[in-house]
Amino acid sequence: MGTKLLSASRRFEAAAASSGSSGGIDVTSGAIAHNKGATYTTLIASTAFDAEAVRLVVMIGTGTADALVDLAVGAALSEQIIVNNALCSRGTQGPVMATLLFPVRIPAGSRLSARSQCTTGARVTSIWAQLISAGSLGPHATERIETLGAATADSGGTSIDPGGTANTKGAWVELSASTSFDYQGFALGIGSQNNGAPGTFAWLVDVGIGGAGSEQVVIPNLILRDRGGISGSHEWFDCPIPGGSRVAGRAQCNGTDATDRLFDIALYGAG
Amino acid sequence: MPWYAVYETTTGKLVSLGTVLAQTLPANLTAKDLGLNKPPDLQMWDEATRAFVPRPAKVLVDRVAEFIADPVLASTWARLTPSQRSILQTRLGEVLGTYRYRRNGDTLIIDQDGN
Repeated sequence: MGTKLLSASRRFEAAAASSGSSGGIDVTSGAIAHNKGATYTTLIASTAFDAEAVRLVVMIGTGTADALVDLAVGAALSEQIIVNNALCSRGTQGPVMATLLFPVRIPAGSRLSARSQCTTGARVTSIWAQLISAGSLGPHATERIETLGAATADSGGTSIDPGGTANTKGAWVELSASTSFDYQGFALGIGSQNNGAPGTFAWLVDVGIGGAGSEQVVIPNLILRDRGGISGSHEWFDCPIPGGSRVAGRAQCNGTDATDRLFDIALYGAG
Repeated sequence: MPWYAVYETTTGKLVSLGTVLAQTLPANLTAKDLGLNKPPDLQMWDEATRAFVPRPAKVLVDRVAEFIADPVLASTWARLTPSQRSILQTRLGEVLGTYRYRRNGDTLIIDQDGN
């Protein structure tokens, strides 16, 4: 039998990789907790091709923390944010790689940069970004990303409480009363609420749309796991959401501790 | 826009929290106006009172304090001078780092899951 020839339908560029550390590019958060740094850190000075998506991986340096990251294009002092407040966390077990995929157009020759805020000041966040060209598979590029549920006051997201009964879905919590435009799909960021001594819990998370009391599940039972820092940011869901929709999240947990059962989510809609 | 708590009328179980209600609320649900502000994370829903109440504070236990009070080490600890105890206590806290405080219910010994 012959070997099936796979045609390369996409190009990939590691837009933020440090060969010196075998990691991402270090971005230091604002000097004051919960404040973005004054300047953006360049991830790449000039992108190699027209990209239709960017995969973002964010890791926080040492110690328990939550962080929000802005991704921007444009020359220094003229940055335009394309992704606002990408959520990531770190717990006691070490860095958790938050991986998010954003189908957004970035022209060739663009400068890509980032800035961050964190639950403590001047924390280092390592950022790896991968640009993806157009291809036959995956999401189609969109013009904009809308962030729902990010909470800059505590560098986190919207708190989800699974409730006091184990393994039973808790209440829906509103992320947005009304989406601004039709979404082609979305990504989900997960946060640990800066919990320095979490339990080893597991969650199943639903994303839904609709008014309070009549939510319809659009993504059921996403799995999350806590090993000192909740892991499970979900990269991309090819799940359309109409403009004007109320979006909410809920969860169940195998633990009932009133603090440790909580976690944050933020949703990034692309359209 | 006010925030609403939508709960099961008979049980008090919270079903949804938000600013936009269903056009027609199901017959088994009640919507309670919570005012303009979303309840903070320091509060949680109480089914019995159908209201948000203070969330119980998390109890953390200091492993350094537990180590010092460990009966296995009592005689050894007693032979140390106050200065030696202070140095050991401080250094132990530094070495434990983020594992110094454990959840009430976790063991003194740090398990393979890092608890």
